[in-house]
Amino acid sequence: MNARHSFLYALLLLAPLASPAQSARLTLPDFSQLEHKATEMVDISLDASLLRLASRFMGQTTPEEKAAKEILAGIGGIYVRSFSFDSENAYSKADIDKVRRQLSAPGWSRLVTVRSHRERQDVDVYMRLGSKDDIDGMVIVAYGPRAFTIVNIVGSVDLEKLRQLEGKFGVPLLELGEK
Amino acid sequence: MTERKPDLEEELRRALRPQDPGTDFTAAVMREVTRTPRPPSVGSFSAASRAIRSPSLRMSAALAASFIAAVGVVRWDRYVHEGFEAREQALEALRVASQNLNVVHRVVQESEKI
Repeated sequence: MNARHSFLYALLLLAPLASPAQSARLTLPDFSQLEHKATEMVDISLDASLLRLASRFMGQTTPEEKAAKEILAGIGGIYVRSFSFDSENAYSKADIDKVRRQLSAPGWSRLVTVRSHRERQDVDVYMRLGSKDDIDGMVIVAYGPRAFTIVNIVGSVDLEKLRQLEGKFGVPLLELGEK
Repeated sequence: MTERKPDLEEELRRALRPQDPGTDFTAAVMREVTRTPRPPSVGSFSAASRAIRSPSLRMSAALAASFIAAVGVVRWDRYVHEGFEAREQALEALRVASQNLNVVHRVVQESEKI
């Protein structure tokens, strides 16, 4: 194999790593040591193929499934880690910082940071813009004294549709200040 | 011309007169008949039809068909199970994301009110 062939092989191998859809995926820390401490836990990793499978099993009859299917159409991966605890300081903030450090990479920008005193949690929303200035990745980092949630969505996502989805799950949305 | 005609007839009669083939002729013919192979299709077809009618082969074919069907059912069952599991996980993931976005939305709206 000559040098030219080696270079072409290297390009082929590295091509998936360079694609925008892959770069919007974060490396989430291993939270397995928290499983026995948590009172509630959500650990979901769905790549593109699993999302396609999930979408095939969603109908059009209920509003939540219809809305979810629309949202999933533009998503290439969704990764959720969410832990709730009985006591405070049950998890290490360093793990959250590991995630936030990845979001300081070029391409990512913090859309909003809120401090909710009522729900005793801080929420940061980060977006990543693709080459055509469309959203190709999103991260939500929510953390409080007894819980934290990390959501990493790879691909194009309509934030308003995603926000309104909660109301379609049978949980009424609290539209404050709109009356 | 007329004088030569009897000679020609005589020559023909002499050439076509019956001859005794000899005692070895029959044996040679029978040897050739046994040496010549039979048409293969007739024998194979009858062997195949005999095999199909064989109960053991029919049982084996039925078992193979049942096995293939069972594998298909198991694989389909697994596919459906994984599909519904993926669907539940996707809905749960979107629900978690939506809840957190609504926290942001509420806080932003409250701050705008103030």
